[in-house]
Amino acid sequence: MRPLKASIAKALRGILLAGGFGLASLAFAQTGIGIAPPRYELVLDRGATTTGQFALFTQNIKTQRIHVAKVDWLVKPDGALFSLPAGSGPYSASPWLSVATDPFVLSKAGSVDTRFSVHLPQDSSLEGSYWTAVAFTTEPTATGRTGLAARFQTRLLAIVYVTVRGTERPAAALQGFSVVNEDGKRYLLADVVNLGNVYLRFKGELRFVDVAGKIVRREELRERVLLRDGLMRYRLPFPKDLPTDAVLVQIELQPQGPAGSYGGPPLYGEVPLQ
Amino acid sequence: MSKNAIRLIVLLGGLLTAAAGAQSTQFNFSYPEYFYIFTNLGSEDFDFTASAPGTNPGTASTTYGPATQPNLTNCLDTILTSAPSTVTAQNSMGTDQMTGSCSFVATDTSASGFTVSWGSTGENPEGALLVATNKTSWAAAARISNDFSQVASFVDLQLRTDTATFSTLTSSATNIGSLVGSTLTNAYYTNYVNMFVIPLQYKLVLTNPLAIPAISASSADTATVTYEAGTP
Repeated sequence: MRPLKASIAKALRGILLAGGFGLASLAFAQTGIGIAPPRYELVLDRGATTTGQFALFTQNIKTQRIHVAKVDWLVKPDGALFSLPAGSGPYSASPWLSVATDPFVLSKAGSVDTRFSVHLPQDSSLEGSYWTAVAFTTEPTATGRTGLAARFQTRLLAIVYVTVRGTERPAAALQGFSVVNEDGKRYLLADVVNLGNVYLRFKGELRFVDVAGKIVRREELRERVLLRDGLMRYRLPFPKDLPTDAVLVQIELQPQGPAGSYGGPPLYGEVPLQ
Repeated sequence: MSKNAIRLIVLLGGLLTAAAGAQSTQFNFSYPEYFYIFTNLGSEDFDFTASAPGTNPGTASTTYGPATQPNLTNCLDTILTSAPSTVTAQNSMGTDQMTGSCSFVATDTSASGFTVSWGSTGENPEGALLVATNKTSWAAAARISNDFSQVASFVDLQLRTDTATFSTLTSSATNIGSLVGSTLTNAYYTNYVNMFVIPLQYKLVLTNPLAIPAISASSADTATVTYEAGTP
């Protein structure tokens, strides 16, 4: 009896030679799609209906077949986006969104408009923000080869928020602000929770302060979104050239609700650097 | 360009054909708000097919080495044909051009005590996802939409960005890059306004050698990797 290893090697060799394993890619079937605008942020009265459209476009990619579907989605605390089947996510607006889901062809350097409508039911229990998305997905093509293949496709989520006008209760809190050491590097961690019934967008800044109270460095915090019932974590690396006399870091975050509403003061926190 | 290496088509300001690098393309967004993603690895570019047994891959002749951020940057610098300073408007991509592509070496496909060769004609699953947007935050994830149906019990398809650890792709989304606030995760700024790049490396892991004979020359099995992105 041949040793098992030899048998495996022989079998493997035969498979490889016959077309089983390895990796080869011969074609260059890039895939790329764009969406404009990337999202709608609708504020509607109960019972209202509105329409909009997304332009799906590409540039210099061969003709692509595009599939359309409604999906729900969520954002993890670190900002990662992931989709869910339509209707399965919390505060899903997908039942109110109507869009044609027939596949279509997007030609090279072409653009296709997809119209949608949103009807907010006349339901007094609806309040705050809801959301959904239209997913545009390229169609993977057959490899035409034997063996194992991994095909690639791209999917864009065209985001749609729906907020019930007059019911907004924006509220958020900074739950923690600290300095942590990870892998020999220092980071600032800040957790923000949404306590209201609408999604919020945050902009803000970090301020590094010296012992005299003078601000020696500012760092802009660009926009992030915090969904209803959500938690958002900032994990911010220290500036590389931070002045050595900085002894305190302050964080100030300005929330903004749908249509700009918020009304409260900025969220503020500070932590010593030593 | 080496046949043993994948041509990582990266476009910065320009998006191009993959052929021999002789063509150039202009790329210009005119939308007030836009979000665009592109990958050089398309639907038919990632085939596990015949090869010969041999030593571990990773030695394929190439110009730029593995698909890492420094190598990616180095390559981009050589193939872009217009200066980054030509891009000024935050809501426009400008008309920058590129006239080339980048080649990267194979990733390691060894597992369970045996090796798989890419063979002399193999081109390797190293790529990049390019994101172009004038929105201030975005996120991208990868997932296997439909896993290998026949060989899933002894094959794993794994993915990593250039500085991370390989992990098995599953039906749940794997975050591959994001811009949240001012922090980029796994992705890199480019020298061009509103353009970001995520180097990606794939690995086929044979998890059960005893099952390998079950694969025949006619075995044809496919997993579909979906790059999913948006600007919430």
